[in-house]
Amino acid sequence: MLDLITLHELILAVIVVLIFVLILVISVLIFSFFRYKSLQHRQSWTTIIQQKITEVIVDGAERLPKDTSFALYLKIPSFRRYFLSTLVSSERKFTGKAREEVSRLFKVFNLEAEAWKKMRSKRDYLIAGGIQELTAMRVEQALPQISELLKYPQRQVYQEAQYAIVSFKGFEGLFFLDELQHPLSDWQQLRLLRSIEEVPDTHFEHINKWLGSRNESVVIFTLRLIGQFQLLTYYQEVLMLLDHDMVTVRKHAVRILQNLENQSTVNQLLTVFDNQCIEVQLEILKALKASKSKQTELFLQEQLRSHPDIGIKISAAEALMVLEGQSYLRAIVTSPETSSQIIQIVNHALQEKTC
Amino acid sequence: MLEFAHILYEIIIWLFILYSIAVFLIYGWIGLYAYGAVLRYKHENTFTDYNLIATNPNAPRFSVIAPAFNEGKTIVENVRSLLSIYYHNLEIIIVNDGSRDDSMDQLIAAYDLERVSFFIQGTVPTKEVQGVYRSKNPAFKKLLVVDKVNGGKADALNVGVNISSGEYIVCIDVDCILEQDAILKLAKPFLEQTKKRVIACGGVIRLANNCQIENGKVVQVNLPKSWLGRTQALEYIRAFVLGRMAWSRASGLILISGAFGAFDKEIVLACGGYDSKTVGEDMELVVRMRRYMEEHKLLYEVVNIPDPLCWTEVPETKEVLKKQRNRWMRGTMETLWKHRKLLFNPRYGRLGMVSIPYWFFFEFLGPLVEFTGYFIFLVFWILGIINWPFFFALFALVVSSGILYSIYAVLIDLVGHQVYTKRKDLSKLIATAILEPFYFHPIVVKAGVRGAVDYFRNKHGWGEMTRQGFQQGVEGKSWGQQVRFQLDDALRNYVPIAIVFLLFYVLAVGVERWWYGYNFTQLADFPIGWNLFIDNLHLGFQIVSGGALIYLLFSFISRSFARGFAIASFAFIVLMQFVLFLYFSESRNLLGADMYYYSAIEMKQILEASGMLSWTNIGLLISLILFVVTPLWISSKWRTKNLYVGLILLIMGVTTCFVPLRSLLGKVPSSEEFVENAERSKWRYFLSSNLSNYLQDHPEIASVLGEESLDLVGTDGDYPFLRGEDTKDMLGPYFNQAPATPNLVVILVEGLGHAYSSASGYIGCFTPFIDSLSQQSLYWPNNLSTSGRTFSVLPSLMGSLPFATHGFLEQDVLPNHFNLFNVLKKNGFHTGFYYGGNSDFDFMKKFILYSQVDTLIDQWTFGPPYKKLPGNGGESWGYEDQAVFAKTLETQKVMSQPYLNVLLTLSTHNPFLINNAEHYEMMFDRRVAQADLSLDNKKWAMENRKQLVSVLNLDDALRAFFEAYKKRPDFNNTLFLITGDHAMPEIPLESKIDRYHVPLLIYSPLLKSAHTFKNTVSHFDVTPSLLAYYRANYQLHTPDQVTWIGRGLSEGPSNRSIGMGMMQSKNQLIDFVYGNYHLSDGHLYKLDGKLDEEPLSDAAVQEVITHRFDAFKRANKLFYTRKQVLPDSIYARYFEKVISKH
Repeated sequence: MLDLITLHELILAVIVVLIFVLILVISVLIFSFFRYKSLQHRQSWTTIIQQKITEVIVDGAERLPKDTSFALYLKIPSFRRYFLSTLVSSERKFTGKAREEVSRLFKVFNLEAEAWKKMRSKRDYLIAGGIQELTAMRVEQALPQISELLKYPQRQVYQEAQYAIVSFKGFEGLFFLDELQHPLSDWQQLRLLRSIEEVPDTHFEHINKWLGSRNESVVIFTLRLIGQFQLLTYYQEVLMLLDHDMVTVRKHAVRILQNLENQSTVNQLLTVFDNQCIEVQLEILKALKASKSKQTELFLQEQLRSHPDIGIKISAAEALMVLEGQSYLRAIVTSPETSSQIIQIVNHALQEKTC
Repeated sequence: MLEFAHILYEIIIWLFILYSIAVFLIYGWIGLYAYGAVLRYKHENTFTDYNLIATNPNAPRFSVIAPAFNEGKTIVENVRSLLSIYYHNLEIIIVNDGSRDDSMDQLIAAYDLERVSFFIQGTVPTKEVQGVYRSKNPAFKKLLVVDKVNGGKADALNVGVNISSGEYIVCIDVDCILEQDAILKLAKPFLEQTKKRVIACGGVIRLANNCQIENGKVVQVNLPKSWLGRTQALEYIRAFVLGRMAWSRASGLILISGAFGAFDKEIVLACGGYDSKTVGEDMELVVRMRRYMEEHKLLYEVVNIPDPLCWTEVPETKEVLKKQRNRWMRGTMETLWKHRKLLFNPRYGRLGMVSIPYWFFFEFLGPLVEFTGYFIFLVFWILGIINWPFFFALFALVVSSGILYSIYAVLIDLVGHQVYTKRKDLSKLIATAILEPFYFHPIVVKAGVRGAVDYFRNKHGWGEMTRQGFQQGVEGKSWGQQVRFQLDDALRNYVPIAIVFLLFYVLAVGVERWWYGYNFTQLADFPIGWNLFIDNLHLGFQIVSGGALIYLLFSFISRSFARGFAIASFAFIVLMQFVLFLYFSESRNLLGADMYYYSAIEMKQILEASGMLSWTNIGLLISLILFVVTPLWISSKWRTKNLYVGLILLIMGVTTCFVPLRSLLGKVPSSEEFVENAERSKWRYFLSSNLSNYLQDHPEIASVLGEESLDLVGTDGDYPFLRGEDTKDMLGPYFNQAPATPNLVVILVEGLGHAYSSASGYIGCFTPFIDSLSQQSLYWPNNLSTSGRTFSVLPSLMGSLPFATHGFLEQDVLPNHFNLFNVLKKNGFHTGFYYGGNSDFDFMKKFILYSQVDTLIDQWTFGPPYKKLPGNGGESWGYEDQAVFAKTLETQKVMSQPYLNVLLTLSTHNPFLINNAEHYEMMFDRRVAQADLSLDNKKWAMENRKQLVSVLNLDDALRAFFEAYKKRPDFNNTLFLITGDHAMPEIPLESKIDRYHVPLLIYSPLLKSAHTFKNTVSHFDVTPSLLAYYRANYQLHTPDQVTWIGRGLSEGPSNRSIGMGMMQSKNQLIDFVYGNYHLSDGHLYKLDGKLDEEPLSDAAVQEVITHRFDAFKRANKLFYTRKQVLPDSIYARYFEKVISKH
């Protein structure tokens, strides 16, 4: 191969790369130094900002004394960005009056422009950050632009837009679910659920539509919504979902039925039990355990005795325990005809001391 | 050979350079990709509110599983730390893995535990669970303690998996300190999953050494105090912040640290939990989970988050560190081996095509390659072949690249997660980055290599199986069963060694083919690869099956002995394959049993002169031995699962014994001997040559095998070559009668073949002087030498003597005989022998001393200003031809007494190094450009430039010799005979006869006219004709009864002669010329008037010629059996008579 490259050329190539690497080493060191300096600045800025937030909470944003040194800091773009992000983080930590005062700081220091600038950026994370900041500042004028971002291709952006819309509009902000193609992650569902304070009675159509959505995550989210707000009127619709193709939907349906429980729930669960897969059956047993209904006792005893799955047996035994069926369970344990497996399961349910 | 060494050197250097470039690129990519991953994570989580799930009852359940073994001193504190983790739906399972200390007692006391009945649902097999404990105190309701029989970390984790109730399990080391929000941060990727299922998630682990810890929480972060600790801090940053983040982003992560990682329990159970047989259970589990997902075609992700979530103590002593790295290496190897099916398997997507190959080539091979690099560096250093500027440049580059990567990691950590923010700590980290390549890195590499060695020794499954081996299986079995078991086990153990051998052997054959293609452009036109491969594979299977029988036999004595024998034998065969083909490549001769007929000193001289006996080659040989022996040794620890492969190998071996090789070989691409030999298995030839040689030396065995019938020929008292002297004087008529008996100067030119010393040769004339001289001489263009080497030229040319077993001069004591030296000496000639080399070589000196030659000049009698030939590595064959000629002129004074001088040249001997090479190279170039050479001639010439340049040198030296001689008064009364000892095998031979086709010319100012003889003659004919000339014209008294094989130059090997045998090498009497026929190794050829030959298929002729050849061999055999060529009485009578005359 040295016919193609002479040794001399090879040494030169190595030296060139070496020089390049050394330049990179120096560059990285210099960059690290500046990064370290920036970190130090941030630490001092954090103290200043925290102090300012404390002053605001104590004295109120309207009565802030003129602070020339702070004004000087605000002229530094990186300080403004850091101040803004700190305020957004702090805003979530407070409630009530304190939160209002902190929110007022956005306007006092005219930080909205920073957030707008971010949202108009082309970088996903900046757009998402801008949405978060504008949402925290409650800048309602941003709603049209944020709504447009619901169909943004990047996950980070459309998720922030979804959250922002729901934060601003409450239940009505969920209308994007009508056409939602992307799955809603559990994390996003929890965020959205937390942002909704009430569900108006006038939106049956939407909820029904979501329950029939092809997007499995939308169905589950709606079930959670129904469960969270105890929307008893949807009981039948939820019950229908026990026939849904997706196991996860059926599991959630059982949970929600238990949330919305009425007199016929136990019977309905017992009826569908045999047609469900193990995962759903386990969920039903949990629901029966929570229902503490005496009418399930025989059913549970039967499951404990005859069901082939150990998990079901254990759940049945645990449910029996809750139904104050210890005497039955103790009788089983002492019966010479009981298999050792059942004894162990029952003992497990009884949580008895063995020494 | 030197060129081969050079190429091998280059290959090694380039392999390392390419590997380094690959490492450079991979780590460059990791650095850049990780930066993006860290930034993305940071941007996505700037405002993440983890409280969303911290107290949410709908959040998924996590089970933290912490195995504990003898952690009594810290376990209570560690559990307290775990209990303070901020996550609502959490279960903490402490698995006491059979601790021998008071761990359980302490836990029971500290947390008010009570034993409960617990039905374990999980189905992963584990050691026995002795008890499950819960706390009576509701404050500790998350805590579950399991007491089990000791079974190792993986087994304890499996118990935790079986017992856990969470959807996700978090496996940690119990001595780890988790950040309070660790589970919150780990949970997020699982909760964010949509289309792709997150099956595992890891976080960054940081060093707790020297950190301030209060109530199970790290309250102040400090760098470890020791350099060893600091380098590990740096290493952890590199590994977690760069490596794992990059691989996570690229969906190629296959390692979630065993100290802290979360897994989807459903997938863990589906995969069967942790593998308790491996020491690298963490990596193995992730690979198995990924494999499961790939095989079930499920979309998935393995995620790493750059948040520092876990703090752990790292070893701060070298011993503990080495043990840890040793274990990591073994774990890596176990996992890679277990999942070897995945390597470059496209079915497994990125896992098979990227992740596993990366781990194989860089994580597993990295330390081994580096270690090999150190070793090769040492070898090169000892051999003195290191180019230091290149070395230092490359070394500086490697070290600075490592430093760059470390400093870059510190920077990314600073950008991302700012664990070490104190100025002092950062300075120390940068200092550590600079020192690490010199201090820490060698320790880790050494430990890694040691781990690899340990893996192949005893510390993994196969090793244990090997140790258990026979003894365990044979207990209580009958003798027959024991033998069967032993055979079964031994064969299964033999198969991996045999397969590795076959691979290496085929690889060596591949190198051989490549080397021919690289070295010989004339082979480019011939498809020799197939035959070469088939011939060797055929032999390879025979070796393997034969080896199996020996191995099984030796296994009964000792398995380790059998293994050692197999390793040594197979390694020898592979190494010898290199030696054999390189020998062929250098000499164009196949190496056979003739190698035994050179003394140790001769061998040394051959090796030194060819440049093979150099430190470079010794270094190469050692490296090659290591390269071959190591895999053989490793494979000797393995065994196949069943007997099938072994049986197939045996059947293949046995089948090859019955299937004739010729039926498998393709069409012979050329009748050229060189091409034919190139495609032969060198090993097969070597073996068969040795076998026939052995049978020749042991006729009793040969007779048993039915191969010896020669003993039946001849009887005591017979002298088959003895006959009355009746050689006609065919030379006399061409010479003027001189007033005094003419002197005779015989010039034997090393390697002077007809092909390049005559315009009619297939290469063209590269001896302009000899060519011009031949026009003024008696010239026999169709002359044959009697051997393919120098060893027979003196007895054949000077005595027309038979060969005996391995050449006439090989006999311990030379039998009485007549030759030109002793006959002419007794007729008053002064005799001399001039040679620039060591006259002991080929026992020439023995012949000279026997013949009582008056003057012996060899290399020991030369001195300044004579020049030696340049040497390969300082050694050469001796003095250049110019020196030999000049020394002759100097030594041989003008005298009235006639003289016979024999000069033997050697400049044209391999390695063809000459003084003033540039001058002759220019001469060569001019000649090629100007001479009337055909395109074919030019092509041949350019391919053999080195050899032909040395021929031009010889020719020029000869010209100068004659010019000087002409100035002497004795020139006019001198006969000059010039011939070659044989053709150079290093120049490709067009036909079998070309090896022996050398010119013969007799020049003298006494010549009446020049004449060219077209008849075929040989060296055997020279002495009879010369003595006939002297006898007829100058009344010299010559013996009445002679043992000349030749009939004289007028007849040659004609139908009236007994024919002429020719030895290709010292143990190969396989060529025979009789009339116009040439029998070579059983193949018959017809010779034409130019000594060109064509294969002849004529059974009748073949029978006659074979019969003649057998008769020749019988006669030769009878001679060497009797050790007498003629009766002593004839010898004594002649010399007494002559002596009495004087």
